[in-house]
Amino acid sequence: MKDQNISDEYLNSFVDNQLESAEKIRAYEFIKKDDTLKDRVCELSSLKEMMQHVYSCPPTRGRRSTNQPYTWSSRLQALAACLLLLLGGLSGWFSHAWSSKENGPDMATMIQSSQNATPIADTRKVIVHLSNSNPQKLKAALDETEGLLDNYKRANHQIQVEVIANKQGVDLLRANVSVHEKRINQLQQKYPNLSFLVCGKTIAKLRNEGENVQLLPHTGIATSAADQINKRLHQGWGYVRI
Amino acid sequence: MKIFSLFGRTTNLQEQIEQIRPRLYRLAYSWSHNPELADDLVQETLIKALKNSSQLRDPALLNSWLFSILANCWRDHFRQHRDMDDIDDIEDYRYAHENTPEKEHSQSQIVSQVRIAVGKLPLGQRQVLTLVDLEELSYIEVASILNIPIGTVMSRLCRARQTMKSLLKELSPQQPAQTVAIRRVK
Repeated sequence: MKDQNISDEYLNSFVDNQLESAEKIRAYEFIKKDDTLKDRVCELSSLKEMMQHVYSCPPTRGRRSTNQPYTWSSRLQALAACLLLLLGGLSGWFSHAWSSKENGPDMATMIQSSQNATPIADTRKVIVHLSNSNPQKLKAALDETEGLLDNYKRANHQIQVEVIANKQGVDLLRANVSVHEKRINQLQQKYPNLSFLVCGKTIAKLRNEGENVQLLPHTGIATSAADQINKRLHQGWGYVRI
Repeated sequence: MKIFSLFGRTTNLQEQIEQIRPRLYRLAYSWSHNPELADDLVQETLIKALKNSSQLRDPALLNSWLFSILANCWRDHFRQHRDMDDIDDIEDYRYAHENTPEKEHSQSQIVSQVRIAVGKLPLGQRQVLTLVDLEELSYIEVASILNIPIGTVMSRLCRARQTMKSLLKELSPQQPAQTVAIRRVK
């Protein structure tokens, strides 16, 4: 089966884990052999991960804008709130101890504004892939990574990020080549949940070509970028390609 | 004794609903992109759920049941405002607000761009995409929640992701054109 014969629906089903195990194994075989398919799968996985990231901390209810019409439910709730206030006042006047906090969650607690709702807590693991030495891409990789870590830190959510560079992207992590050495060092100190890796095959290729490749401190070497990304996707990590 | 077990079941249900409320809000927000409306929708969903809790036969299906109520509330919202808004077909209607969260979150480029792209999707596609991606529900569950065939779920999801890919390409900042001239040196 060639790339052209594999539909988007099929790849979506693969990415969303909707295929049965036998079919899934078959899909893995196709994807392993075809770079275009790999790219399509990575693109879909990346989109899925982005969706989860983007809506992980939705903004809560703020002030209603003046030109926005009130919904009927809001008006009814306001009316109900007034009536409840009146009833509460009257009942409080005549009796003192009908309510107790030990009664567990009641209707009022359930229906209160979602403003105080606790954010959804789950640990995210993201692998950021860089294969280009375009200065804008190198900067974008660090900007996006820092943005991701910062957003999760501010929301008090757990995240682990791994940046992997291959091909010309390894320039980001080469000593005496990278223009971002200082920033990478600062990021590593600020975020212990951030790690940098380079592709072992790319490094071997550069050394074979006679280049003296020195890496920045604390930079790991993966067997190959493709293996590392594949391994992480298997482990349920999200994938972001810069 | 029966009354006590019934009371225990209701309290347990309330606790479970309380736990799922942030997820309901997230989903409602991803559909509406409006915190006030999302909050209203969640409240209506919870009121309906508590009022009709006896209809839930299998507690394992609580999440799907709540998502289904939320989808109905969302649909009802449009039916109620049909005479006020110019909506002929819910599937083709593209929802947009002046106070988009994109403006409020402009500091985060990815968040802003993806939300803009999601906001441009037709509602049917947006619902399927968010249920699959955010709630990680199976296609069968999504079909059941939205009361549509599974084939429609797959085609809407496919179209939604294709549109998202092209919209994100359009929305991403354009890189300056390479001005390096190629010269042949002999």
